[in-house]
Amino acid sequence: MAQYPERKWYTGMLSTEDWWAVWIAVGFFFISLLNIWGIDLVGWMTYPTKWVFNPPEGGKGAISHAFYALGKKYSVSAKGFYKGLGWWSVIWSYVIFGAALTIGAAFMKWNLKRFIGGFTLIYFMTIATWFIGHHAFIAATKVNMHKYGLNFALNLGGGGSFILALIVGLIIGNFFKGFAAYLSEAAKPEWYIKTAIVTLGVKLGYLPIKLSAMSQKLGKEAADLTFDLFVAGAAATVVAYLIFWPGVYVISRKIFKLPRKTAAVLGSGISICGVSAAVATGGAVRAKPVVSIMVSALVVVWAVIELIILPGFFTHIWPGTKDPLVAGASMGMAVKTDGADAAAGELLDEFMRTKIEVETNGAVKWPEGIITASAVMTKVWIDMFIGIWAFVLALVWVYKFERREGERVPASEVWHRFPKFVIGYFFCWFFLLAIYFGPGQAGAPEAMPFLKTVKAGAVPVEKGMRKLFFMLTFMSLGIITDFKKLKEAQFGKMIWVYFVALFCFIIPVAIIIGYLFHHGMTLPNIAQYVK
Amino acid sequence: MVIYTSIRHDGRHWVVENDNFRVEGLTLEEIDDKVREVVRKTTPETRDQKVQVYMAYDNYAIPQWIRQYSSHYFDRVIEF
Repeated sequence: MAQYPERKWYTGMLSTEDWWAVWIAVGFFFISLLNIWGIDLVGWMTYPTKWVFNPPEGGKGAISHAFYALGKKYSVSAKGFYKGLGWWSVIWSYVIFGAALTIGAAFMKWNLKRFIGGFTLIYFMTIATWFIGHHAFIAATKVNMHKYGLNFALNLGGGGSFILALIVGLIIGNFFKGFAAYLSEAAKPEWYIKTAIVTLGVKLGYLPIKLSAMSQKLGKEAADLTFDLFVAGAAATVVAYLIFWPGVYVISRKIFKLPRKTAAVLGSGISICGVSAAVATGGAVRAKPVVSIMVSALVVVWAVIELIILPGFFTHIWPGTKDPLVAGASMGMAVKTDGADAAAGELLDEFMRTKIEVETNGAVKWPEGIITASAVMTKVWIDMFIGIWAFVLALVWVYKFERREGERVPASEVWHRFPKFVIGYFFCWFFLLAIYFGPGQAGAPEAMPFLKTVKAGAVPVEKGMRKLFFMLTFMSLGIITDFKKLKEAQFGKMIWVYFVALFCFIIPVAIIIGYLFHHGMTLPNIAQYVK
Repeated sequence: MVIYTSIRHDGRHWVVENDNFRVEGLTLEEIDDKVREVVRKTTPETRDQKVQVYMAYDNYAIPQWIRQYSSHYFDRVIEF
């Protein structure tokens, strides 16, 4: 549908996935804040626990408790009600999240029948893999497996569910293509992950509140650490742009002899941020859209390959648990697409936390989500700079390389390319920090009753909603990834440019930059405060 | 004077259109020339004044699977 009026700053607010990630996540965040006034409208959000078929006497893991409403544990005003939901929380979550997403799909003019049908199937397949992935044999660690009557467990923590969801999605996407095509209207990994990233902002803002309940000092440590990640992520990103893009552009032009525009688009797709950078650069250099579309198709497949390889590499080969935030930040610079990067960060978070707990026999436990945040933070900064980088490229192309009489580049292009979901991410984060430092009195004991009401609302969103949307992302990523695309003749040299640039240049340089800016940053140990 | 149009690529041509005209060309230079010509012809009052033609890329022409990653291609302005 063509648009003739001038594109305004608010254009797209009701018709793009970016903005709908903000409306949905921030909407639920605001609803969660009603807990401050004793109204709990988010405690229904579902969450799994580890289970076994035959729990030991006095042990844990009854199937009847495998899914529960988070309000059962965290609600201040409606604990009794949410305790009774149990497995019904799965249905509540389907209906309410499904309704919210369908409203977004309607405004974005998608095929609603296909969306509702597709989302229903994807949601329940996701719940099934979440359930199976939480069998204690998969999810338990050496430290706690005895509680479930086990003598051996795979030590995957929550990562098992993510891997399973990805595998199921990939099987559908590669072997049941008709089914994958039907699901495609609802298999929207970028939309789900952008919504999840906004709720990650809730996580980061809530972290000092959570840790201050253990000790006021820990709460302050958490606030300082998230600020350090904010600054280090920005610095690493600037350095990455200045090294990555020229490097990949030169590899494309000099070694593989690609045309200038293709090299520019491929350069951005490989070195910066995958699809969004490829599209932004294609637009900036006025390439025919087919160039960006081809690069994007490649990026999506390679990003999933990185997601499969890198978390395990960083956990078990280098740097391991000695420098978990170096691993997270490096991944943020190396893994293309927000979906694959955040998913890889979440997997890394699960793997690293499980590993350190096993290595130290439970003496060290890290808070959940900080390693994810380190991966997402560099990606968020990269996303924010895409618009500026594309604007710079547009100026170079329009005013120098391909000067056309009378053409100018509107400055509004920077805003139109700005990733709007980042606004939601920072908004939720800083809003909760303001609550922590303001009425929360930086975690002082006298503010604890108030902070408990904030917690009642924040936890369902930052834990239940975030994890569910991450799971939906893993499943959807698998569904839309067709590895056979790499064999298609039209890609030709581009596949090899991607492979050489990514594994011989981007990943090694990302590791060096991640090390320079994040080495030595430590995670707080909360082992003495948690069971 | 500002004239608003949409621009897209149909796989072979760049296409610029609004309610008053539609032009297509193989290159952006060709399309800019055609836009200047048709604007001067169809809007006589533009002959004696500076004109800006704002071309907003029709983002619905971007495949739906890409739009979740990036919903904006480019906007451009030509002045004459």
